[in-house]
Amino acid sequence: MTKREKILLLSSILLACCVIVTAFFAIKTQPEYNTGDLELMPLMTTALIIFISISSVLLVLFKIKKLHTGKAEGTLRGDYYRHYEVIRDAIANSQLSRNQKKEIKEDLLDLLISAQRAGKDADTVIGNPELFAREILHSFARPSRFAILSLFDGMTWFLLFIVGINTLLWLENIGQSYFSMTIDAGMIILIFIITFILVPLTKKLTSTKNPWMFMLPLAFGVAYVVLLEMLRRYCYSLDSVRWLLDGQLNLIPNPVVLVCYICVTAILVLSKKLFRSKLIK
Amino acid sequence: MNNETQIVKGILEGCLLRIIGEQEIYGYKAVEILNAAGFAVNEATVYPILSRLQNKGFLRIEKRPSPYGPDRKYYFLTPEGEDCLKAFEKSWSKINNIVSNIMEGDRNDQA
Repeated sequence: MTKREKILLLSSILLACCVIVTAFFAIKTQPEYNTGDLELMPLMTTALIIFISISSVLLVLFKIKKLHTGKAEGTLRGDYYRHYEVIRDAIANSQLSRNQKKEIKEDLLDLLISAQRAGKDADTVIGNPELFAREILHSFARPSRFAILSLFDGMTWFLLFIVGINTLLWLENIGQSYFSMTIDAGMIILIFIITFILVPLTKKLTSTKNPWMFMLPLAFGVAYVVLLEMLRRYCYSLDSVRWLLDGQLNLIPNPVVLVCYICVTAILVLSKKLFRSKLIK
Repeated sequence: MNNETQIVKGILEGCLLRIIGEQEIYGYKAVEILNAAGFAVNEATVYPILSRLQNKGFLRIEKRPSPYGPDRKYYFLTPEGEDCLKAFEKSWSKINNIVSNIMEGDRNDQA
């Protein structure tokens, strides 16, 4: 396992641990916990969150193992593999279609394996892997076009997160109406930051040679929680801070809005496909 | 420096179209041919150019099994690629004449 893969695995383990600890904490702070009257659904939801967290770590581990057992990838040695994984990550995180990514990966492997067999130095063949990856992406489209497609992703994930969290809250309070669920204002802002800023930024930064960038989502999550606690402690007298910390919003108040969410999500997915075929050649 | 890089990339595009027009080649082979011709280029320079030419519709590809790894991509000129090559040859000939005349003029002045 390379240093990059170890850091990726470590970040996924730490992230999963944080989520699991938070889920336990959320259960423990419920009044019913002390009286022993906890209902089945909140427990089931917590179990589901823990299951997803552990599965995500296993998925990362499985993907890493699969890379090393891959016939072609396994042929690359030393600097060749280290440079290859930077380029591979940059292409995988890009807005190219699955077929385009697969084709580039095969081309790269053929080029690098041929060069390695010829005894060439990896640095001479690839130079700067980040620059190489950028040149490949630029051969398909200008960076602004990729940014437009990222915006579609951000909007789609934002809507999906809202519906997903609303559903999770409803599962925890199964007796209540789906359309009466409210989400914390702080949570909505967090989702906004994650989908529109953190995910694109992490994708961009993990395409560099610095593997510690994989820690960015975790670092941001911890910083956000610390920031909220600091605001609660020192700035709670401000109306805007109180709204951020304690405000609740009902984002899916009726079935019509829910249908709108689903339709808009579908339209965004289809539009992205259409735009991609027009913007990226 | 950036201008120089852009000029070389433009010239490389034309040279690659010519090489591909003459023989069937794959990415690594193209680098070897350019190196043998005197261009100090590596795979990281040539592959994005081939990719751009393919995306512009100047090249078509054919995948064939490779003895070392995944299928190998062979490049061929499309009719649009042939037109582009003709246009490049015309432009290059014109630029080459102009630059040569200027350089010759400089030499004559110095003499």
